[in-house]
Amino acid sequence: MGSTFGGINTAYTGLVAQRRALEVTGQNVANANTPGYSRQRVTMQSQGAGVQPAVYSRYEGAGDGVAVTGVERITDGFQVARQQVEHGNYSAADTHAATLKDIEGTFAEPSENGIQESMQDLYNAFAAVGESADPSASGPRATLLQAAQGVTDKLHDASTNLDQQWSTMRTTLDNSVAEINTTTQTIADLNLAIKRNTQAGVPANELADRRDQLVLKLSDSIGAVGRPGEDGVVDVLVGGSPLVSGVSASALSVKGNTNPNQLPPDPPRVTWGMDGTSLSVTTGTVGGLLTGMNKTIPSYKSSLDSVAASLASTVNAIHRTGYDTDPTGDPATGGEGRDFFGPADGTTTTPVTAANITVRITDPAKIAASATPGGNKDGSVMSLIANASDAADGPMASYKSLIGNLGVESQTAQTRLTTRKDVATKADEAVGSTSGVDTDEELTNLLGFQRAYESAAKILSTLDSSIETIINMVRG
Amino acid sequence: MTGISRVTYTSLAASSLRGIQGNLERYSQSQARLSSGTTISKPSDNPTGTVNSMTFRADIAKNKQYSANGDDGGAWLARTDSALQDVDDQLNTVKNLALQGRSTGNSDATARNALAAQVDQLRNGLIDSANATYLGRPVFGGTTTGTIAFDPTTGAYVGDTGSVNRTVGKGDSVRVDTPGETTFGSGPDQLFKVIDDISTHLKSDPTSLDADLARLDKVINGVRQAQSDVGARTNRVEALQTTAKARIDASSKAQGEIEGVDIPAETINLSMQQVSYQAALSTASKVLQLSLNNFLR
Repeated sequence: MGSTFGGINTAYTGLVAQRRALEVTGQNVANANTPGYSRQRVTMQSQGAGVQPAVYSRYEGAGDGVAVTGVERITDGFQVARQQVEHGNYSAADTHAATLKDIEGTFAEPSENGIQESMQDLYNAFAAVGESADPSASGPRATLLQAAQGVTDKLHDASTNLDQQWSTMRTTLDNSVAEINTTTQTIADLNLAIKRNTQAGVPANELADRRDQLVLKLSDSIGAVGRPGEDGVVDVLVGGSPLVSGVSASALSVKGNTNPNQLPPDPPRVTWGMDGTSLSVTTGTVGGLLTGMNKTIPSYKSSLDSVAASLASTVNAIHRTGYDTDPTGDPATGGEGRDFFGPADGTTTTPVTAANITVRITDPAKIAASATPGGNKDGSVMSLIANASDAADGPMASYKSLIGNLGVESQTAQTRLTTRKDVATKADEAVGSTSGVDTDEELTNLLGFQRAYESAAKILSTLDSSIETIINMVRG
Repeated sequence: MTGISRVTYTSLAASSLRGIQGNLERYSQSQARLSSGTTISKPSDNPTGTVNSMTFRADIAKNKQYSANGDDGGAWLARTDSALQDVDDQLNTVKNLALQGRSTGNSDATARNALAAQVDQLRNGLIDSANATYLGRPVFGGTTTGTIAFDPTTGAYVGDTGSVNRTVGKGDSVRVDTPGETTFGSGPDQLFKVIDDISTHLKSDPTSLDADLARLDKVINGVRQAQSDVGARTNRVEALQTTAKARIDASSKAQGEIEGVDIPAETINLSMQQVSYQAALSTASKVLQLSLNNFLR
């Protein structure tokens, strides 16, 4: 037989448990819109007979009420892991697509302002000299030199823009890694706090939420994934190596050249701060930046350099066969055609690039328009250059193929980005569907807990009045 | 995960917002196409279209240049044609004078001297015609820097053998100058040599005029051949120019089709995007009003 006042205690445990449940409901509702908040649920356990069987005494009570055994954080480890992986993929795709879009901006094709148009203008200027009434007249020749200057300006601009884009990415990489280092340290600190709370039996749900948010941030920036460990801590891994191991964080640093024109043998890379060994990063913003700096931009720069080199070599080859307007007609003194384009340093050994291509001819009279010496009015060499403009392996063709490749690669990157974004959003939704707060649900629970609380209070008052009845009887 | 996933108010709000933003993005893309008038603002919008558009742009520019070259070439040839016509006319007169001189024979030296004086006058006209210029360049002088093809005093050729060509189409180069030595003969059969001989023989040795007339016929033949050659080249330039202009039209049209916006279609598309944007907005506002709160006292 239970004690007379046992029921009062049972009712009391009910009041306490329901009140706790109401508090947690309040916390959930308060955080309904908090990013990264995982909803919480009070775990309750009914209290019954002791587990030790007794021979001489039997427990015959209805039970000892309810005990709050904990406040559980509702998450799904599988969904969270998927979210982290997909965020890494999404960020890398985002950075890659943005890199290519910027490169597209550099070339500004198709338009009247692009390199193609100015190359076409140049070839037409060659034709205008060669096919004018007077190929020796200085007017069309000066126009030709201006048009050539126009092409080299456009090539320099494009090359400089690519360099600037690269340098911006290099700075972004430095900043990203600095931020990653701060974040990993914070995660390690949070892990420590969580570990202590867990060991002390104190819930650390809010700390865990914050920590998981930071891990997701690392997924975005460097493609990190979390791996749950002992006592509620989470290790953070990049490419299989631990960035955060329990309560200690490893710092990263950025190594490599800051000059876009000097990639080998020291390309930009992320290394472990301790021993300087390289870290393989393929996803996340950092992965995207590394791909952009070490592959994408260098590849378009080298294509652009080829266009410049091809322009110089094809024009020079024909120009060298001509003779300028030197009236003596002496090939030795100045009749001979010289290089029309060359590298800025004036040598013949430095390879011509988009950055250094220069118009070598400054005097219109030195344009070698004639196929024969003697300063006559033959402009056939100019016509030959103009007619070579649509050669299958000429600079126009290689520039067109550069733009074609860029278009296809950028379009592919954007399509992939859309897919990655969808997948990442779905992964976010999956996490949200488990951990997210639904206010309707919380309100429904609120009603349940409220009713239960009211009922427990009712039981208390009923027991109270029952006991009162007995006491009044005794008083008689 | 199987079955229906748990839907929360927050996820509903997020997906509504995503829907609205997606609609708005498509709406703004359509608006951008209409206001810019182009469907390709960067290569990734349409990689193949971009490359084709660049090809057509280059094609248009090249053919404009061909057409301009053709204009210049046509003018050279027209100038040459009229000069040759003048030469032909004057040579016929010379021929008549020589024939008169021969039939007059030894009888009338005064009459022959008068004929010779006329021939000398015609020689001046012929020098002028043979030195015809186009924009300061003698059309029969090759690529000479001088302003004349024939020395007015000696009648000797002072031009060079260079040729002036105009590119009037891809791989189509047309010679627009007319070589003075081929046209007016060389050596003893050169036009001015023959004219000078006729003048001299009219005065002193009318019997030699028969041989002179035969040489003159040779020269006239050469001039006529040159005339028909110039005519043929003019036709070729005109035909190629027509082709170049047709290419400009065709390429402009093709470029317009690639880059240009189909305005009626795009306007309808814009309206459709507007409707779906409004639908997304109104759906969101209805769905997001729903909450148990509204039904609890």
